[in-house]
Amino acid sequence: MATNISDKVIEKIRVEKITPKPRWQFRLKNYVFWTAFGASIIVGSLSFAVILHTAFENDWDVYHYLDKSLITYIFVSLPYFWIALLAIILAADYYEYKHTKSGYRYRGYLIVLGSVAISFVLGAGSFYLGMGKMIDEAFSRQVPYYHGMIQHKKEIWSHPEQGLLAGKIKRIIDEKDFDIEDFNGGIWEVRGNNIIWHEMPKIEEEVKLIGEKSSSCCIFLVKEARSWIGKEIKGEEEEDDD
Amino acid sequence: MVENKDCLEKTDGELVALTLRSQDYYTCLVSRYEAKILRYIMRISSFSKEDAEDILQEVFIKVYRNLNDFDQGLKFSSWIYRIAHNEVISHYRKMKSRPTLVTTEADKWLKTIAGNDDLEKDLDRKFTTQEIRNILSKMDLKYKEVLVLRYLEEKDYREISDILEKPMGTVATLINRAKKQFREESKSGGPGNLNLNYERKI
Repeated sequence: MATNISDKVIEKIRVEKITPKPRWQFRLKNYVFWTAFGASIIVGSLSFAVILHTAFENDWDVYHYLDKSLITYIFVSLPYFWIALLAIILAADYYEYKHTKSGYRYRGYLIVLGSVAISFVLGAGSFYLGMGKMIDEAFSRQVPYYHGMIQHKKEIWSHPEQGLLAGKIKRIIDEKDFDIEDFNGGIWEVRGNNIIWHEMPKIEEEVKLIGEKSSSCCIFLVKEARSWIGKEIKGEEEEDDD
Repeated sequence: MVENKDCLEKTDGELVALTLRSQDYYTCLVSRYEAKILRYIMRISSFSKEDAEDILQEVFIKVYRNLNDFDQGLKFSSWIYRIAHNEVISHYRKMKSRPTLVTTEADKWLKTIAGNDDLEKDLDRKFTTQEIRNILSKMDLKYKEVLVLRYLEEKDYREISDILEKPMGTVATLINRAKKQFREESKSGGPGNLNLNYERKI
């Protein structure tokens, strides 16, 4: 039997002119999967950077002005596109790693946890470098139907009847009396008896205002003014000591 | 023509390198592994000897075609067992039928299992050939194959991991479950059907 099998195998190799597949084919396959894995990690990290950008840029404390619960506001504010993309990327990471030569050695959950950890670290670094904001703004400009952070913020801060107004400063009479143009092109006269500015407002500066819409047309009585970017408070109502 | 004496002192890795230079050295690898692999195929599949030899031939052809894929970081024996395992699974899929134990071959290796000291120690008692036949007929292929690799082929966990391409933790879990299933089936008693269950390798 021993000789028979051996002879049959060698004979078949000779007759059918079977040759070993070239090494480069196996290396290429492995490189392709490792490269795909690397690319997925990068895309996952950038997705995470945008998610962090959303979390940090959102004004989480104004939900009650919109008559929403915090839970509802969180659900409305979540960046679903990037969360879905991150989930798909993590699945791709698992598939790509499992198809590398050593991929079978680790359990599935360890591969996913490892991918999450790497995406988190690289994503946090990318966010710190401003890439989350850059990607979100690029997508807002160029991707149809993409609802980025800018649009989300503009929607939140375009509810003057509920005490939230934002726009660009167009005219400054003094620090208590200035005009802004909101994101819908409307002009508002902003008044605040007790606003104290940490630095004087400037023309063309974008601000977010918390206050109350006056019964008179197009007048907004402000209690708190913030920078459009971030949460720096520019001016706030001072308590009356009298 | 390569003589037998030329093969004896060469390691598997050396023979692979020599085969890639000269086809004649492949007879050394085939001779070294044909008995072991044939026995392994018959143990996990219970095919007839003729079918097992056909599969064995396919295994060696596949090994030759993929020789450049052999990673020196892996044992050659683990690699060839892996190819043999995958070929058996492929063969099952092509057949799409429930294989049955063939009496003659099964008796021989069932006696081997019955006489295996490690198995007796791990499962707390000796089993008769008939008991083993009945028990194994009810076991899933994924459990049967780890028992064969561990107790008959005497592979360690790392080798089984490399052969089945599963993490070592999963291998340990499969062996524990296989032993548990073996004990449970042994307690339920009574002769079972000789049909074997199998699952697709994921």
